[in-house]
Amino acid sequence: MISPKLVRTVPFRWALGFAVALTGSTIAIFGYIYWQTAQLETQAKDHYLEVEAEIAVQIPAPLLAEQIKIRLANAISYSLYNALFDSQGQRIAGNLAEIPATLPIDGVAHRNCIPASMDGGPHGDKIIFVAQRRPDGTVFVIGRDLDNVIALRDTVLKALERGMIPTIVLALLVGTLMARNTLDRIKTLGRTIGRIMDGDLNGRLPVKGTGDDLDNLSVQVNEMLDSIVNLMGEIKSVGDNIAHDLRTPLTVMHARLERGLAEGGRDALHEIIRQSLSDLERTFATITSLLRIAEIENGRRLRCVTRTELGEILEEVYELYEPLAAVKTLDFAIIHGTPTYVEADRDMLIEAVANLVDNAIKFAPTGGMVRVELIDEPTGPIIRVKDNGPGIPSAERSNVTRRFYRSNKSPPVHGSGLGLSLVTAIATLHGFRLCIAEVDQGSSIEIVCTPGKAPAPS
Amino acid sequence: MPSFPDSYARPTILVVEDDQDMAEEILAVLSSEGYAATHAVSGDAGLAAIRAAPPNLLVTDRMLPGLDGLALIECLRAEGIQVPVLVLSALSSVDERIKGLKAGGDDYLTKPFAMGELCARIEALLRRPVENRETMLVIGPLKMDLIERTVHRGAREVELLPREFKLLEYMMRRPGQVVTRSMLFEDVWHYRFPPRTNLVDVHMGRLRHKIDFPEEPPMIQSVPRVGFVLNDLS
Repeated sequence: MISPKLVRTVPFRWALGFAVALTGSTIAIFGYIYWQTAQLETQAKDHYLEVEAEIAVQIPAPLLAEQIKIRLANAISYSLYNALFDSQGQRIAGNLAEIPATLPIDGVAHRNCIPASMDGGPHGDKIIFVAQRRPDGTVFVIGRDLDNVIALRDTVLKALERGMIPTIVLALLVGTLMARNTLDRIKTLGRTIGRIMDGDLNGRLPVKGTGDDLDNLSVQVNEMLDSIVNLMGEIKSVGDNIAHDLRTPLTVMHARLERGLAEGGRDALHEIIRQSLSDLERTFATITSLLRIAEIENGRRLRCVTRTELGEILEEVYELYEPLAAVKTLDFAIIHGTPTYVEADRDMLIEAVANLVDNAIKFAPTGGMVRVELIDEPTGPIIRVKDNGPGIPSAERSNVTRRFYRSNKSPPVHGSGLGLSLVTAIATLHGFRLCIAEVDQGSSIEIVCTPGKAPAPS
Repeated sequence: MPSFPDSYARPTILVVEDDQDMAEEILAVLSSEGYAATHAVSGDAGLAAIRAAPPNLLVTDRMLPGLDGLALIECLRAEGIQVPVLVLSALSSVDERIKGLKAGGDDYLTKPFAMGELCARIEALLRRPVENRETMLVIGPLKMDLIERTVHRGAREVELLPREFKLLEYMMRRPGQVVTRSMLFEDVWHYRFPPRTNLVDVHMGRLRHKIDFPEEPPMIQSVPRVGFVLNDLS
């Protein structure tokens, strides 16, 4: 009935464990009750026998011997053993052949003395004896077994037996049912996962809404599937975008070359080849950018992280772009104060800032302004690149970090449209954020860094 | 473009490339540049050819059937054959590049590339500048004092910014040799990412403005679609 698979389930094991724990604790409770009751009962017996012996001492010997005989003959005594011995230890009356060997004659109850029964009556190790010497030198011995303590033990064992077996059976039954239920749910999950693995990416794990562990796990797996589907969608749209960005120039090139072949004038042909080469170079640049983004995104880890001073990065990017800004007669400046450190891959960070500055220079109008500022906030340093170009409309701000996105408002400026995606990828890899700030005029893009360790004192 | 006098043996280049079209294009360009180029379709064939007659330079694809490009280079280095190697690869990541150079490659060019870039890098490998200890570089009328950090064209002193000085030093160590934008970006700026827009051109434009005055014969020349060359005016 219970398959090994079921036994291996967590609920079944829990039920088994519960049954074992319950049995243990019940046995402990019953044992304690038995021990306490038996103790009380035995003490009461001790006391009774000691009092009996004390009374017997007061009675004259012939009368006592007579009483013993009557008691034994009528079996009316609480005590099983009654006997009177003379000072030599010879029996005068009673049902004991002799005084038990190890029994001290002190009027106090003693246990476990082996009696020598005269008539083969019940004797064993569970007998209490009291021996008392009388004033005339005779010895009175009285004894009793522990039959009601044994009866109590039997009752306790019976109660245990009748109470425990149903409890254990019930626990195992509940465990089996719960295990079956879990196993069924896991089977359903397994089937759903199988369907998803076979390509049905819209399949989701069933959630019962009970908020139990399996439910929570299913919710998390479903969220993971959502995010995988999103990523795949992104890859597909990237694929579409690549197709667009590569197909368009390739189609133009194809058309041009065909025209060249048809018309055939030497100068026209020369011009067509020149244009085609330029288109090809653009597609090469696009492929290179895409591969670079893929490399950064798939890298998922930084190769050479060092303590990097952001001011130096800004100076380096400034030196790289100053001539380009001068060509456009831009007011180009960097603003930074005290040295600010972050943990970063220096080359990648330069690439990111260079990209932002490249964009700013591209979009700023001739004679316009580009500023690169380093702001040291308590939450971490911020690198802000501002320009007074057309800016990014607020509705489009979340889109610009997507690959290939080009603002509708942007003037016709050449670019692969991959710059901000690349900066986002680099920032994310470092645990930094790319923020597009709200500004009235132009654009302001920030890399919000997490602070690095302070420089070690030299 | 390099020119080789008849008396001077043409440099031999072995191209190991499994794609027939690609190989044909490379061979055609190399032949037109005056090199004696031969072709092998696999790493094993390439290794056999090099053992038979080591060329002046090896151009090998990174991914080849059988013995791949990197294994080929490792074999050569293990056998003590120190022919300079240019690795061509569709794998562009920094890791791959480092692997290529660690295996013993001397330069690494990622596909897609322009033939001009390929030729410039081949020329750079064949004419590797000797890292000599001289403190004065002289190319035609141009004199660079590496100790004083001064540059003169004839009697005229040329004031250069530190980066312009490095740029000119790089060019002066490679006179008459085409240097491409990406070679400059990698070797002068030490950046591994591709230069954007016309960044290198603008820097070179500034340098040229300082080196070549309008009335002087130009020493720095643009090579359309490829890069720049410093002529010694001889």
